Amino acid sequence: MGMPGVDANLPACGLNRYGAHVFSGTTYGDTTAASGFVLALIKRLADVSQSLSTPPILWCQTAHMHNELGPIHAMGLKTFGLDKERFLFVHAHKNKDALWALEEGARSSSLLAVVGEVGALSFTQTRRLSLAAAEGGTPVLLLRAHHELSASAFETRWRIAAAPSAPDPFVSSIPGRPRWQVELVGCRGSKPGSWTVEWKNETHRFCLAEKFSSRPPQLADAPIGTPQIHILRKRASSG
Amino acid sequence: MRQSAHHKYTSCENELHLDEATPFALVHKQTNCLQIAAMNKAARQGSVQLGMRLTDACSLLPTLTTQPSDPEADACLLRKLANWCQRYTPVVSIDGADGLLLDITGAAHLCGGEEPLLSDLKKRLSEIGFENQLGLAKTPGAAWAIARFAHVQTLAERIIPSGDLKAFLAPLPIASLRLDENALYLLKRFGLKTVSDLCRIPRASLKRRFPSKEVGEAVLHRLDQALGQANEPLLPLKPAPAYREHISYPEPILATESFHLGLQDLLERLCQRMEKDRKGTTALTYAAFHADGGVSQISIATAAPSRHVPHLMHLFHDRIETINPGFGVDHLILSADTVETLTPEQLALTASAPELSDSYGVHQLIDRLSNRLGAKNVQRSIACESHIPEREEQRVPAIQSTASETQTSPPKPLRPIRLLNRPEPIKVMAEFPEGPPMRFTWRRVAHRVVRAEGPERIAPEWWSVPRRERLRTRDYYRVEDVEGRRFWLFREGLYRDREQHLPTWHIHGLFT
Repeated sequence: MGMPGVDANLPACGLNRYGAHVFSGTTYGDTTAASGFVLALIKRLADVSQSLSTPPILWCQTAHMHNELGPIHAMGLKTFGLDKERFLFVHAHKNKDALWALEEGARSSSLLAVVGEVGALSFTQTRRLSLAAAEGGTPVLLLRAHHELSASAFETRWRIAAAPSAPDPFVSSIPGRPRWQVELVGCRGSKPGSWTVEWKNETHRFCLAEKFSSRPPQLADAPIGTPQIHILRKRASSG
Repeated sequence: MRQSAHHKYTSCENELHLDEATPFALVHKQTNCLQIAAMNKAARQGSVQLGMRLTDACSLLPTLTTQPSDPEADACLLRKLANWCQRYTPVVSIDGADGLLLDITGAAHLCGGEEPLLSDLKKRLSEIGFENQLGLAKTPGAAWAIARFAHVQTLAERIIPSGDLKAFLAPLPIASLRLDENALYLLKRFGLKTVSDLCRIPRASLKRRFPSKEVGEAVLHRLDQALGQANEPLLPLKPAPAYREHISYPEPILATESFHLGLQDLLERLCQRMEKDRKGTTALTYAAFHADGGVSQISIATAAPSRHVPHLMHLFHDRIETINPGFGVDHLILSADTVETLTPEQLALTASAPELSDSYGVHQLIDRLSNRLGAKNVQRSIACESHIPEREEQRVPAIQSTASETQTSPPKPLRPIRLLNRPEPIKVMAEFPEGPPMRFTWRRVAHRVVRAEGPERIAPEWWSVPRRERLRTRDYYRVEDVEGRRFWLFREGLYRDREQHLPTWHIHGLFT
């Protein structure tokens, strides 16, 4: 994963490629944070893979998830340095179809990773996904709603929440780099833990956020209106 | 080129469970009366004729049973029958309301010759319950004439050997040339009743007799077509496939396993032929012909040309169960509808090279997913030339497109990772009207904004959409709330625009 603190805590010294991992938001509103974290992980996977060209990524969504938060926006993938050409989007009407597509993708061994946004899963279904991941050597990353906590056979279980970003060094009033509060809830052979992780847009790497900058920004130190006008003027003068 | 046309009458007889002895006719309404549209043999023997008034027919034959005709159902039935006739040849075209034209060039030997083909067709059609008249000739026009107007009984006499067309057509009436009513009426008035009468007159003087040049030319053109002096291409239901393999069974088969075995056999033969020609297929159709006159077929498509038997077999695997065998299937056809050049693959040089038997490539994965979930559900994203966020990206079926080179687009401000299906309205409180929001409520949850970036103004595409349908100008803001979630909001419309109503706020996407 490229995060010394987090990697040391995991048995495989990083995310196991031969396993299935599940990510869920801490609350309803954090589902997007979880999908962002998964995209960041995919970028890390792509960077460490030795092949010349990045293998494609299968992103499978059920109709329910599609209606809830919309599809992944290809233009937004640039934030994570990912190429939209490498993505294969699958739209499944039923949970069952989505799981079949995930298994088929994992078994084919021709993909970098398989991502699934699916609904409720039984223990058997989670076990099947784990086996498929182990067989094909393709990590299966699942995004689930925050309220599903049933027993599962996944390698690791993560809970992701959005964290307030550190202010941008140049303009304090605009949103800074993405940050997540990452919690390792369950992992075979390891202790749970919790970290605040920041994504560096420039180098496409994770880093652990410093404690002092994770202070929530005060409304008073960042008057919103004035700098905005300043930016506008700058744009107007340059253009 | 040799063709056969055959003639059918509508199948209502079967539905009513009438025996052949009961006179029966279908009627259709003309401007002021009911007319006979079709009738069975018993009615014909009772001297009922096509186009006769129903009242006249009833006075001739008081026992006549009638039903209103349904031309749409007839057309539908004829199309079904045309599909079924593809067991003989891939080139089948529908001729008018009651005929089919089959191009059996190079296909007759599969049935053992022309006469066995005709007798097989006649036998099968009669078994299904169609009265039929067949004809076989070098040109579609001559076959049409023989099928409908020849008064010969044996099938052998209905086959015209090539070269003798004129002699065979000479005794037939003028109507056998497929002329329109106007021309027929005129020719009758000239006293020309048979094809031989027409042939005897020099072309130039015949043309001069018609009131307009077009009618004269049409008559001569039809004559030329029948005699093979003018070309007449058929318009087949489906374009003829490049490769086609078939199996016939002496006894109808019903079990799913037989369909699997049949498919395996056909695929192996087809792929062998394609390998010889260095071709690969991207679309296959597997058709099962019912003994009782029906066809059920399944089609698959692949992203890249392939002739790999196990892979193609796997694509068909789940779908074979959807074949409806009806009362039994006696003919199977596998056709490669589209083929592309596929050069032979380089085999591994050493035995230690990784085996590719278990794992398969991305193309194969796309094929499997698309054939099971539907081609439109497996997508790739392509960029579109638009500034409107929802039109920037378009999803296309992965099976139809290959990964293209990444285009370098001008750098844009950050875009969200999720775009909502449609912008959702939100309640907003802003410090001043044209500034970023301070608080907003989305899906009943209130968010307090602590950081905001913007606006990024996106103007409507005035060059492509008419003014009324055009979207309003949007000012996009990237905002972060107290908990660190980021949203993409926009204000639609401008305050200074007096003509339109006040601006509204929407949420369009989510950042991480």
